[in-house]
Amino acid sequence: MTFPLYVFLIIYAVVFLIYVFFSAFLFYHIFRFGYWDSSTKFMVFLYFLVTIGILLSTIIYTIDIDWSETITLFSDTQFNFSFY
Amino acid sequence: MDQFKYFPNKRPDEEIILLLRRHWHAIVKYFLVLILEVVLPVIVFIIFTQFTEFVWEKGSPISVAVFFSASAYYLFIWLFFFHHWVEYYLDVWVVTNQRIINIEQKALFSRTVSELNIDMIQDVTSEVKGKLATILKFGDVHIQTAAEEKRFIFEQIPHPQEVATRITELHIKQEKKVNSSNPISQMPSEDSSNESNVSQTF
Repeated sequence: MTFPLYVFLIIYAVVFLIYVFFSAFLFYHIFRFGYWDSSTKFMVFLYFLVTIGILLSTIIYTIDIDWSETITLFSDTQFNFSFY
Repeated sequence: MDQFKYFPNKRPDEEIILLLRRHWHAIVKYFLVLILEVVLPVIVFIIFTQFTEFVWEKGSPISVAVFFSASAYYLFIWLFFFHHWVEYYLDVWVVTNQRIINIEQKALFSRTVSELNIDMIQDVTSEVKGKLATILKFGDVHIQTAAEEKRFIFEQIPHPQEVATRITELHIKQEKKVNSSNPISQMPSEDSSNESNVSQTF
């Protein structure tokens, strides 16, 4: 099966939306039922920091990629890595 | 910080005596799993590139696929860790001078809040089980109520013995307060024959 590379971008966008959706529910619980104390502030800060870090590294990696290029998955040649 | 901000139905003259969460080891356990989940794929990838002809080339279709998969994987393991932290953080036991409140976040969409009056307590037991619990000083406190067959359990809390002692003290204090405000309860208790008479009258 051959796909253009932008299919991965679309799948990633959907995955990230699911991530945002569940994160929103978690934050709803924190702000509705939790105390806004130092440990909550630290964890919320850390959560955003790690999320932005992962997202930013992905964005940086995708610069200069030719999205029209194709990838062939589930063929005999694509994942045929011979061991030494 | 207003401690009563998220407190269910605060009563007049009610004070928070203890606000308890699980011992920190409960969340450290998940943190160690997170580290393992972060490191393990990197090790597998290094081994894979060492022992196969696979060459990581930026922008190549296969490396784009691997990078996106890795990015999605790390997002989700981070989300799961945060979810565990939210569950840990929102599981709270509050001991006030009048009652004990058990707030339990069972899952993302399941939250239970139960309470019992301090004067309903019949028996308080602390339990420290295992080597780790003994070293790190955490354990369970079981609270048996008088009215029902209900049992409150404070799970994996730090210093369970001290907590049990504090609850017993509060119970004695509350009982004295109730007795002093209600002179009938100070009268000597009636014998069992009288009790049976009462039940016959009804």
